[in-house]
Amino acid sequence: MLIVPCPNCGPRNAADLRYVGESRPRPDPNSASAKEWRAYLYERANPAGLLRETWYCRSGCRRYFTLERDTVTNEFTNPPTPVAKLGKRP
Amino acid sequence: MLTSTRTECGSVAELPAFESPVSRSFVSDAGASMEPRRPGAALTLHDVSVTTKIIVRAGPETVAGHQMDTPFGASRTEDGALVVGQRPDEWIILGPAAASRALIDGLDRSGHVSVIDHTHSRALFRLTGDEAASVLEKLCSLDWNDHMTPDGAAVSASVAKVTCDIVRNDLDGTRSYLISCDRSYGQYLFDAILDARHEFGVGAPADAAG
Amino acid sequence: MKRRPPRYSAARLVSLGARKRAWPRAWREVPLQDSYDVVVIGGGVHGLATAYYLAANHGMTNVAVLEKSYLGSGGSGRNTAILRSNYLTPEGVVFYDRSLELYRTLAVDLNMNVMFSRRGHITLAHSDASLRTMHWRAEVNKLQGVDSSVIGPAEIKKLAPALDTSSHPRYPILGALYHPPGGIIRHDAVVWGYARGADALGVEMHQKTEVLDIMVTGGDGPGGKGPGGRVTGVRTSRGDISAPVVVNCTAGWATLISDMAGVGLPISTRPLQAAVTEPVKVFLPVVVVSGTLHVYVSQTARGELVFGASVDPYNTYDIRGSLDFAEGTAGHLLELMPGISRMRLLRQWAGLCDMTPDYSPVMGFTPVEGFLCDVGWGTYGFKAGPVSGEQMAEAIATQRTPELIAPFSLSRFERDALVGEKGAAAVGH
Repeated sequence: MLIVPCPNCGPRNAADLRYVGESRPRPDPNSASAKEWRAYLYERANPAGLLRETWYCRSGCRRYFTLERDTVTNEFTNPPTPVAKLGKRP
Repeated sequence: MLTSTRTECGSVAELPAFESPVSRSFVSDAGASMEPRRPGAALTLHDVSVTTKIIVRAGPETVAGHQMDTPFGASRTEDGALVVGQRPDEWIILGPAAASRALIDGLDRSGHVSVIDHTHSRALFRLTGDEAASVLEKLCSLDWNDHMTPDGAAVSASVAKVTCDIVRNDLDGTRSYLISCDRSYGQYLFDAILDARHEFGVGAPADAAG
Repeated sequence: MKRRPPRYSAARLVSLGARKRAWPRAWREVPLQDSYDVVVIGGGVHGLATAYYLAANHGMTNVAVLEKSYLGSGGSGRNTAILRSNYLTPEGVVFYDRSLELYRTLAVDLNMNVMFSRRGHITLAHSDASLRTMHWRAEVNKLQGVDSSVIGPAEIKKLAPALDTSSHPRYPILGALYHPPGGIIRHDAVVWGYARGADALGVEMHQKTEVLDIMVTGGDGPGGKGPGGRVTGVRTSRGDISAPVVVNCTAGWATLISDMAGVGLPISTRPLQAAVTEPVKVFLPVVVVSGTLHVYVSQTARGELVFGASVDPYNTYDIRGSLDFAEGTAGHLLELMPGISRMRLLRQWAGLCDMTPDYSPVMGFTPVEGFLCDVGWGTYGFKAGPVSGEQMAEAIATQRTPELIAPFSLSRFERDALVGEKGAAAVGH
């Protein structure tokens, strides 16, 4: 199974997260044209290679974060070091 | 700005004699303490759902956030209650049964803070014994070795496919875990843990077998 | 250049055997030419069917099918070979029913035993809500003349005695949508049949020929590609080919090919895993699907149970199987049929699915003249193979979009005319 490096919790099974998809800015709904909004809704990058994507750590820290992954090898670029410092508070 | 969670928190505070509506365990009526280890048993699983559970969400600049004084992934004991840094801006306070009033009153709720009593909505189990990590390894993909999850470690993960909050909270040097999940999954998770520890050769305490 | 197909028959088998002669090759290997009337990219059931019907129905035989690996190496050889037409949208039902109709006579049409077994197909309902959807689907199906009805647990038990129809499982079986014309087929034979049939009519198949670029002129995008342009040919790993018409039938790799022409597709590539058990005596006479448990299962003529699940939850071009799938799906299968707990898994695999936002395909013309798509099939491309080929061939030959595939055009995303097929795709989404 894919192991996703959560920046908060550390390496987690992909089943513990939700895949949101390609990371991209959401156009302002008040000023975006219908064409821009449809492009935001439907068009998506689907490269065989590096993809910047959003994940949601559903079972862990419940945070959204962005990672870069190679969709052919499933390797993450520069996996972050988790911030969680596990253990008893001294 | 009044957010929905703050409204909820407000309603708890406004009820003068509010106590958790379900202050009994659902697996059994007995066995309701934070000291559940049965003498002589190598591995025990206790339903400690009656434990008071307060979830505090607080921004980094709030008084409540400083009061918690526990980083994400860690836990500490204060006045008989366990303060757990369960998520980056979320803490769970585990206290003695029927203590939610006192625990909530002790918190400064000024600023962007949400305090909710989850005593009634979360099930809580304590799994104690030297083999406890082996049992968890059968149900959960995380590493339960001492160097990864030492005493005091707080993590959230899927246990038997149920999202759980887990705190390692050793009792007198014996490995012990507090595992909580949504109440509706409680019976299932209890059974799943019992099933997983079967191979380690110890039965459930009579009062908790339900 | 029409040539006689080597007919498969019992008499020929005896005759060849008696003379100790081997069968002639099913299709030729010919040198790659530098020009064709139509180039089809993708040697799966969709690409081969398109080429076959171009030749068979429209007399267009100067056609090349380019396949970067071997014929049927993608989804055509990786699916679970289930055929059915009990969909939810009227567009979907009509379309798949035509496909089933073509599949019905395929063995005779192609002179290839495709082993189509119309054994019946049941989609289980585990809740009142899904039972209501089953009734809805049954009524839509009946309106379109498709044999489909809702049955209760007693009838289900008669059709598939191995199913646990008691009231105590986590998801008790409350009823099912019964679709007698559904069944399974030998998917490799369908691919080979179309390849052999197309070859006999003069179509060329080129394996190990990867398309590296598509040449487009006059378009709005960089290099003259993109909307407004027109296709002039393709660049392959074995040289350039000029062609006025290029058809994209590449399923999981669809966006990579379309990007070469400057056409953006609303498609994400996700793997779908399936597995097969050891063979046992026949005990499951129908195809069983459970949307709630995300599993579909059938027993092959060899006796193996073939089962699959939904697509993996993230985009990837990686087709390695995972333990998570094997464990999870086997668990779900056991919830349906507790009696098979001692069966062993033989192997598991994955195929790439081209998922669209509305779970309906993208078919027909694109903003680049001469560049056509037959993609976006997601998890149910195999059962649509023949009808897609037939309709795409008609579109190419007549230069008009046939009525049957008009709802599935790429422009539906600009017109907000999506065809939501999520409710009826039994599993997989």
